[in-house]
Amino acid sequence: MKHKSLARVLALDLHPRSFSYAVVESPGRLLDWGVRSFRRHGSSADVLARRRLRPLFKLWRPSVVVVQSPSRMIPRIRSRYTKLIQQIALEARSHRIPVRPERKQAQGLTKYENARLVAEQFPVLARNLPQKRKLWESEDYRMGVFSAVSLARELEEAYVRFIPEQE
Amino acid sequence: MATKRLNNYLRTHRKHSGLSQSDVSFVIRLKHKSELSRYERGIGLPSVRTALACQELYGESVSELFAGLNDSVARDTRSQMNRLRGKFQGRIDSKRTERRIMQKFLWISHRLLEMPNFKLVTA
Repeated sequence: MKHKSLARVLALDLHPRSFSYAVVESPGRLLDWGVRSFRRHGSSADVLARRRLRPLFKLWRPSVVVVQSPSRMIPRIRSRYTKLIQQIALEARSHRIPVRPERKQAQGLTKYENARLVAEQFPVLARNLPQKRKLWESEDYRMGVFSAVSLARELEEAYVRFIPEQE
Repeated sequence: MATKRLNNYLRTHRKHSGLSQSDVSFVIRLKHKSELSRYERGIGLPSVRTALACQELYGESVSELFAGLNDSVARDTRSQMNRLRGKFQGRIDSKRTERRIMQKFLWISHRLLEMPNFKLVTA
């Protein structure tokens, strides 16, 4: 049976107490998206890995997991993110899934502009697009979904380019 | 690393439709939404009636909704057909072969040759 080369990318946009995720399958098919919280007693990294990520890995069986690289973050936040990413990598390794920290490409776009682009590309997400936030407002929790989708889309395009067609 | 298609894409289609699990389970006449949740997670298989109801609801063929399962069943069926063909081939004797066996052998060989990307393995 001949299929075009298939890659399924799970992208995570990490926040201190929650993460947004998006699953994209080549060619540019959005499979799933959402926000999950890991606000529980005990180590948040453990809750993230065991209770929140494991079901996602089992359900979507991604070929690669992509997270934002913490290299450009301020040191205090970076150490926390690095710990979370280590937990994710540990969990992913048990499912034989590689984890790639991606440095976001600077396109000179704001987060909102990027989200609007994503919503144009995937109209199904347009209903989740929050209004542009005012200076005094905090960020809508759904914004992470758009970041995750754009992260997944970037990697999925790059990933497929390097895989030859399979039989 | 080769990535296979997922066993089913029920969750993807439901999320694209914007319907909740309760909505879908009402439409396709499931007793409880947990049943749908199990199918979406690939725990157990829905009945033919439920699969056809999903096809009607999402407007996607059953073979596309259950793409991975479809692939594995197709692969398995083809290999079994090839094995059966091999069995018939072993019983073919140009003089004494029954017409019925010959007919079966020819039908299954033609059917296999019609299949795209299938390599006939001779016994």
